Amino acid sequence: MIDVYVRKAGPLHRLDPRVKIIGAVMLTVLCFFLSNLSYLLALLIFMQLLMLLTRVSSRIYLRTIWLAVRLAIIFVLIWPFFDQAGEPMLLDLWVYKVTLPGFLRSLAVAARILLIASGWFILIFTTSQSQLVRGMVKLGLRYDLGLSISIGLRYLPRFLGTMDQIKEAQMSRGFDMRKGGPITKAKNYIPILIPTIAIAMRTADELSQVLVCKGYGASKRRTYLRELQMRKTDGLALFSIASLGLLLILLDIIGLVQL
Amino acid sequence: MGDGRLMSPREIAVLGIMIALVATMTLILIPIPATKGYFNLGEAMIFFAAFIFGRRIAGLSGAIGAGFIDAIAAPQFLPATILIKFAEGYVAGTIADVLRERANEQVVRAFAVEMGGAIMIIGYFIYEAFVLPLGFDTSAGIGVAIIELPWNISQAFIGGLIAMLLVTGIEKSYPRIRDLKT
Repeated sequence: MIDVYVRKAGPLHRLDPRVKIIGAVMLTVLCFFLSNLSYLLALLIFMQLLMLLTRVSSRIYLRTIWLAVRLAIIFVLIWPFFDQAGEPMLLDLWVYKVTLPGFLRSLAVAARILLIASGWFILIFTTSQSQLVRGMVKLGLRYDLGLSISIGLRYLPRFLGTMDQIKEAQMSRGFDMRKGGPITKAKNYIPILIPTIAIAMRTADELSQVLVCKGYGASKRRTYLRELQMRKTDGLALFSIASLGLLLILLDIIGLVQL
Repeated sequence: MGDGRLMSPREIAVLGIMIALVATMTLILIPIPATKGYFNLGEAMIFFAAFIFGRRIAGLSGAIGAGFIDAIAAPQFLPATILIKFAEGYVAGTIADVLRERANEQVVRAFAVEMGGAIMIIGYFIYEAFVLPLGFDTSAGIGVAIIELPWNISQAFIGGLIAMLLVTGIEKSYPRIRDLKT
């Protein structure tokens, strides 16, 4: 649930994390830039082909992308209430009028949502958390912030476990969590949250002492055990991502294919 | 931070742990029976960080913790979440800091929750209504955003309530938390 990294040996797994991060950010920017349905759909098909290269099982993929699909479907369903411009009319049910151009516009928004989702999923399916942080630090993220992020990702599963433990401990003492409406249900979490947070704060205290003991901040220049190396394929991938993005933006500005 | 100085070991540890806590609480889903929807307690942790550790830790832990969960659950909200949760924590923390001496603590915290919550509610509304359908007729986006609105409002409201209860509870049960304040 927490770490969706899929440990496989595919071409996208070997790619430098920096290239993948740049790719995902570029895709997101590109999505908001493009409003042409044909480009968005072409890009979406391309991303699904890339998804095949991640060798993620279709069950995991469908489960993770379901939330994005749901939002996309809501957009397509609600769109005809509001956007009824254009001809020809496909469906006319009183205030619910589906026109062909309106339908295509709603599909474009749906494609945009799915594109952003699949782009980031490819990144996190194929990049381990430590590689992700290392890549971000190499891209200019401050390394103290990178260290914090690593700590956060490292302790997330542990706190989930701690919380389960405390929940079971409280329930074995006769504490009933299920009663009440939403607000009471949320309040029911307080006897679980307070011990969890107290444990977390003690951990933070110990961690800060560990950091001091390990000589954090002793020297200005930080060295790394494993250095990232850009290979030829990484350079090539970066070049193709950048040129594809620029090409699509150019085509969209010129407006070669109209929606 | 901000002036090129590295964070102190204590700040790094607290920020890391708060990132983990925000992400953990974002994963707690509490069902709303009437609507079959869910809300999470991520907001509560952001406000908690704002009251105890101030704006920087609150903003960063909100952006990174909630952003990470969005990246694995709903990446279509990722750009919005990073900006909105940072602003939410930063504003709530600033209000709590600045007004701390001026008025009753609970009143100040409630005000901070209202302002931070308003940023979250309006932020997601704008993202769904105007940014996702960018370049098209945005009225349909407004329709979708209105459907989502009650969830976000109840999430901010309940998050703020839980955070205020938590701060009081933690200060009693774990007084050493004061040593961690930066």
